[in-house]
Amino acid sequence: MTVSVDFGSREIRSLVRTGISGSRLLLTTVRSEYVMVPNESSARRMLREEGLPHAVCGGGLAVFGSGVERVGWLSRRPAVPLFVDGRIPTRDGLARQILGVLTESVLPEPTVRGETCVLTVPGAGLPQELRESNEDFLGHLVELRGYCPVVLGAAESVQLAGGQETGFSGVSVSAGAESLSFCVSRQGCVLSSAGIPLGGRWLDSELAREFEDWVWDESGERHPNAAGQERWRLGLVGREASGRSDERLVALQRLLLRMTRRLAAGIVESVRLSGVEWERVPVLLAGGLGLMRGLSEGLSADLKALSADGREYEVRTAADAETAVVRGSLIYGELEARSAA
Amino acid sequence: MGWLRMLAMSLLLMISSAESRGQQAAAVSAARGSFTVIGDVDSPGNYSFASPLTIRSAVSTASPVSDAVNVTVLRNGHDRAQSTRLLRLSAADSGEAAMSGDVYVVESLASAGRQVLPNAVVRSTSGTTVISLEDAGVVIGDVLRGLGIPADARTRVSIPCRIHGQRSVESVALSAAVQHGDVITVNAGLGEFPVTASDSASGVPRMQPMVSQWAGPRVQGRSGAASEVRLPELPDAPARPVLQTERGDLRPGQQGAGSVSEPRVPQFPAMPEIPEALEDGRVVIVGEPSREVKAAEPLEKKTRPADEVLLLADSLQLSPSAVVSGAGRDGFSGSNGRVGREISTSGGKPPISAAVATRTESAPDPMESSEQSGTKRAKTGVATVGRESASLHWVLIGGLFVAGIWVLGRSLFVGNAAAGQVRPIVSAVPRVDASISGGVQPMGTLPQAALANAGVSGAVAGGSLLGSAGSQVSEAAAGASAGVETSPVRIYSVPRGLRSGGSDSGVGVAADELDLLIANRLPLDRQEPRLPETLELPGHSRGTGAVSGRIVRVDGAHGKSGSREYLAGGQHIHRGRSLEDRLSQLIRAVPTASRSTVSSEATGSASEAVR
Repeated sequence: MTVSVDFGSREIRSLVRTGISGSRLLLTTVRSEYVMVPNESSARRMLREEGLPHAVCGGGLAVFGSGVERVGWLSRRPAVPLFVDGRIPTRDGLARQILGVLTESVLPEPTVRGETCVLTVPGAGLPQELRESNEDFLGHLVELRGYCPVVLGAAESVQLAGGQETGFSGVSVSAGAESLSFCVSRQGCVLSSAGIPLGGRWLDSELAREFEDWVWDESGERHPNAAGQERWRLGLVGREASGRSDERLVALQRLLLRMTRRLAAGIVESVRLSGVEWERVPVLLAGGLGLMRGLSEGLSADLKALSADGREYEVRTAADAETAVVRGSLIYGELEARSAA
Repeated sequence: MGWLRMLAMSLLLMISSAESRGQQAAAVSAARGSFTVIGDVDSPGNYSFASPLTIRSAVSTASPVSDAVNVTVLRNGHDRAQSTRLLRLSAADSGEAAMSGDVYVVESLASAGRQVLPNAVVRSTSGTTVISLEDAGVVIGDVLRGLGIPADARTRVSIPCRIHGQRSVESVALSAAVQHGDVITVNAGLGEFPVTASDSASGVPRMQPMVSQWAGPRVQGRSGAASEVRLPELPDAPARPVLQTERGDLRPGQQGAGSVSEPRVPQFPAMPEIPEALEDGRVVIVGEPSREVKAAEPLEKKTRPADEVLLLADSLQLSPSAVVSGAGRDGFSGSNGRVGREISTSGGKPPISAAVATRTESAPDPMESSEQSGTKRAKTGVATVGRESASLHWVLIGGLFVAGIWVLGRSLFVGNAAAGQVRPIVSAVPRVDASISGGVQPMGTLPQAALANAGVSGAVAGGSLLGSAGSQVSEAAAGASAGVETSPVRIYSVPRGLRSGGSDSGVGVAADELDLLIANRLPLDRQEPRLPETLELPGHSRGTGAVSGRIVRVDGAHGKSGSREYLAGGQHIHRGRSLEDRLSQLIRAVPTASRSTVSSEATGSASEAVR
């Protein structure tokens, strides 16, 4: 059995391959957020009747997993991310405990104690010490489950998952909810990597503020309705734009351009610093945000505009953009297991 | 003057052809091994190294059907594919060297590429042989028999590489169909082949046209009585002066027990004698509807391309109804029958054997078919051409010297050009249709018991016809132009749908999971996490949406993006210069906090200040 887990800022995904031959992959996903609702009898009864997983804690009832979306209306507060800006919440003890519960729920019991589990952690755009803090904490959670944790970069995983056509060489980008991470690889070896703290959540927050999309809680305080913007944005995937008259769409394109401009600049610089002599640089886009319509087109245009050394960048999106990271980690785990054998 | 000019041109052609052959022979003699290219290429086959090559140039030799291809590399002696890489023929070469014994399986990435002749390769201890699949129903058992590789329970047959999204198979049943791009590896039982004296002397497996072991019951005549069909014996393969094997050159008389182990082939049972009624090369299977099958006949040592013979015939004002093309060229339809082509190795050497037959599309009466139509068509096919060409030689020598020179020069030219080509022959050998009730006597070497032991349960009714002129990897190297070898073996079979009881489900499932995982071809199931319904957790939420509401969240990305507002303490604060500076100072004042979250303890004063 080989296991990998991707601690994403929007979802935690695990992928398990069981059996020796003719096996299947088992994907388990859970939202990496929780919602606080008042600890009232009506809320408790509703949660019990609906069978929604929740925890009784000091400040109320913390609902997590599949209940986050279903009880959002009950709370009217935005869900609390387990990784705020890609960071383990050091001051939020409840979030860390929920993180432990969710980790245990997505990882099966290991067949042999000490089995390898490859994990990717959030926070690509964070300083080194904060990234290491993330790795230590999440690695410890995996270790508590009985696995031997091996940490892998998200962009490297993307290269393993979708770089077969290009000999595992080129640039791979993992576009997530909190950050954009990318790396330059040559035949599977990472030459350079970097991250930008922009992601889907930034897009949603900006849109909510620009269009004054608020939600008010029971105390009368208002919060940007990022969840609503996210729903609208995800609905754009695979759908043609309704035209330039859609102001929100124009705003989203403008935000996307800002995002892709920074990403393209980072990629061009990374390729230059890596010292590779490629005339054509394949760029593989994956991650939940990779499915965003316009991202690959904008990135391709920006790369063309910023490429001063005559290189051609060929941007393509991984077929399984959402699960490419966790699948790449699983590939890494398989390779590790075979090497060990 | 015109005569002299033609004569001079013919002589020049002959001289240049002879020179080029000499150069090629020199190049081949310097070759240090061979490689194989199959898949979506125009010219699959074994190629000899005339000089060191890169993988890309090696693949380019076989003319891939598109510019962007996936190439899977199987190294010599490895059971699994070593790597798969994307190659663009128009891009710069990576410089990775091709190695002797490599098999390159090419998969076109173009969605609408040219149609290619389905092909596959068989790797065994006796060599690597490329086969071209004439239809979709060829089974592995047929292929192995055609190549003289007996398959029994000890034989382990695997397909380590397949293209177009199909799984590789570690253990495959003999009844499994061979598919385009398959690399069939035979790993066991090869050292115990019975070898006949003639075979060991020549070192070349004697390839016989045969009816598949999977054949069903005997052919039923119209009256219902079973009629046994006998096929004429074909000539043995002539001894070759030098057999170039993968391990070195093997000279006639040199036994495999020495330093060079020659391929060992099974001993075929004695072929039945040719019935007198079938001396003209026709075998009539009486059934419903009737089928006229022209059996194989010894071929001339060298045949000429079809167009050449036609030209010759035109010049002599003859009109052969059908001719057989030379090596590397397609057969074409004659008057009514579809004509197969000679299957020969290259270099002008006589073919090992061939199975060539014609088939009438329909005949109202089997006897009429054999007497009338058959009489007419008795002039068709190889035998006709062979006899006529023999007599024509005398005519040529006697009266048409100039025409003969011209044709000879042309034949050399065309022969060279065609040596490296492999073209499809579709339905060249008649298929045993379902309407032929009964069966055909198996003429192979494998007993049914052995097949049963090999896990082949349920004989495949209908059977398959296998026309083969197999040669080992190195056989064709001597005469191939620029080190190119032709694809020597062609397999025909009965369509799968005609088989009753045939089991193709014996294909193993133990594929290389890693390759499938990388290619994202493993099936994916989704499941919900197993979360506890209720649990108690100590502590308070400190998140943004917490009930306590005392957390100040400063969105770093938001700040960097230059938006107009910050969210702090649940209130929106319009950006002002002094406030922004104070918030920045507060963030810097907290050493462990990131730009994202600042605890309420650290920023309590800020919240108050904001309020």
